[in-house]
Amino acid sequence: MELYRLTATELSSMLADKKVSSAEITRSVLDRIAARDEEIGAYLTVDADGALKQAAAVDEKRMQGESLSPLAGIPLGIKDNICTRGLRTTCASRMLENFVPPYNATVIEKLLAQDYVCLGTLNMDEFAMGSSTENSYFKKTRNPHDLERVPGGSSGGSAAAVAAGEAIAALGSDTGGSIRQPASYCGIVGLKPTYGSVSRYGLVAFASSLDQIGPMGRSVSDVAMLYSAICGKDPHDVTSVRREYPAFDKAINPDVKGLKIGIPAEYFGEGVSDEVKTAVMNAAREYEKLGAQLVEISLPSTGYALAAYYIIASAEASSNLARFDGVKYGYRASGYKNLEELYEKTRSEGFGAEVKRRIMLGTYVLSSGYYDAYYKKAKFTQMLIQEHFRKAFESCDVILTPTAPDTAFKIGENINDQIKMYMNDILTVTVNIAGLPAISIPCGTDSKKLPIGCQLIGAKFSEQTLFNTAAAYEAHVGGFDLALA
Amino acid sequence: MDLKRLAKLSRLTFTPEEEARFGAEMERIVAMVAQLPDLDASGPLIDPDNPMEFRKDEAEHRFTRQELLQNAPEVQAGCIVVPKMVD
Amino acid sequence: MDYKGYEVVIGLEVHAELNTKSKIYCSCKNEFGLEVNSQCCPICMGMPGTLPTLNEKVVEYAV
Repeated sequence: MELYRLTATELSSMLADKKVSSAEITRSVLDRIAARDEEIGAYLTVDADGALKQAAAVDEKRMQGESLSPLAGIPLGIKDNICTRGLRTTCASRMLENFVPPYNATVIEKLLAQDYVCLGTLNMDEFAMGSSTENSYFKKTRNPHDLERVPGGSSGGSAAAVAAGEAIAALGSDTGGSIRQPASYCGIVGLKPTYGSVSRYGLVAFASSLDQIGPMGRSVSDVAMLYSAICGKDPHDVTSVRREYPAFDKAINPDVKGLKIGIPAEYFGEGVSDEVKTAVMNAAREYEKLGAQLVEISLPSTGYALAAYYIIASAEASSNLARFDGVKYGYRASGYKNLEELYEKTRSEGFGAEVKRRIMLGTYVLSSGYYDAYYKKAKFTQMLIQEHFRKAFESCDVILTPTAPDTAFKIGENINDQIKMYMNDILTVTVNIAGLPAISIPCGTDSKKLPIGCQLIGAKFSEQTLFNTAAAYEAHVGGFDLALA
Repeated sequence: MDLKRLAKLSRLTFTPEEEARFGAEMERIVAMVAQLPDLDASGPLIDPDNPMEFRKDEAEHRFTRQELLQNAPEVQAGCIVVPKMVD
Repeated sequence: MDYKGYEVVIGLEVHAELNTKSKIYCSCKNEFGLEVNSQCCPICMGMPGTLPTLNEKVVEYAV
């Protein structure tokens, strides 16, 4: 069995038992990248030399008898909107094509302290705006299950890399479903953590009240392990929450006897394909066999959650992207005659169409005369949505829904239909609005053999319950089947 | 929706074709976002469960000028070069 | 000219620099007269991904 096919959990134990070295694992994954990435296009920057150097250093530490963390020596891929010191971080945009951050994101500092190996940076939709990774300035990423199809987005590179064996696990980011939907399309596990549980310092901001960095991997245990490594209060991020974060992977208890699983009718309505509904309800019935209890619940806010999301996300995005002006870093246009032109040419040339669209929408909803009607109203709607979820969790422990309305679509199929692209978000955005944790796990394939994902949503800081519930299904089906061809 | 004014505020410029396309797309999206429920949006927007922690007033020096200006498009005498703004 | 009909209105725009050791949103030194761009960090340079942290002394002085 090639090393690149194994999970982080398996490799961690093999490394601890000295059955394999980090150098061997890293070389195996780098060879896999060399063999497959020309076709898949998951990576924007591969740092082979850096990765091998790091792997050698960890192997040396281990030989010296140093006690190391579970992630030590495991090669990971990092979504290209997470700042990595000395390694180009582009956000898949022309605006940051040559930007090399002089600092590390807090999650990267944490991973470095645990001796992870960085393979490089992964493709995404530009500035995390999109659901297919087709909005990347540099390249398209293909779904390893069907190269004519998208891997999902915006963490498409991360999902494709993990599914294809080009990374043992990866970090992605999720603002409106950007970890969960690609995880669903590529048949892997992805967690969007509770808002505030993972520091956003170093994550290039899209929508500050919705963004979260999260782990993507091949098994629940891997995702739990990576989440434990990156969560925690960070003084650099005042929105991060101070509390006890246990070692989640070590505490996984795959027992769902007596667990109440809420099934919200609104998430199984029109727009969700029959095959997806069937697969998710089958998963629900498997949970019943394991002793869980299905409860019908209602989440009436689903109808306007998408509207609230687009107002909040674009407003915050337009504010966050105002910093890109060609002055201190990033792309600077040429041929400008004055400061005004420097700004306008730089931004018009540096940003792609989708980014410009969202900035314009954001500027509109925040402009004088509209702030109260749109942004403020959306923020109050956000509170209403949070209240609805709080009520829902009074009658259930977790909520089960499909992750995406359908399976991966063909490259180029949706890109010109904005509304259709936005509908991709509908099952996932409420979770970001409410700040809740949610995990997507594979639960079958459709008639085209494309992966279907189901989503488990929990109350704030209930990641352990999510891991337990997901692990129960995973064990029941004998582990998740991967794309590795 | 005054696209020209919004473009000015956003510091963006569009070709006439882009403007035409954007206009139509934005109208569709705005129609979608006009669906918010009728709520009382007059109160303050503060979350009492998550008070912000302040930073202690202590100075710390961790970056050299060279590191920070590495990504600057044009540098001269330690300053970033920009178009003339004041006569 | 008869000025008795006019009311004098004087406005004072005061820019008060707060006497703190560090800047308002980052730990860089708040001191004048040093070399250009020598007391900066990714936060006060507005680099992508950075986040501000509010100086408690600033709030104290303001309140």
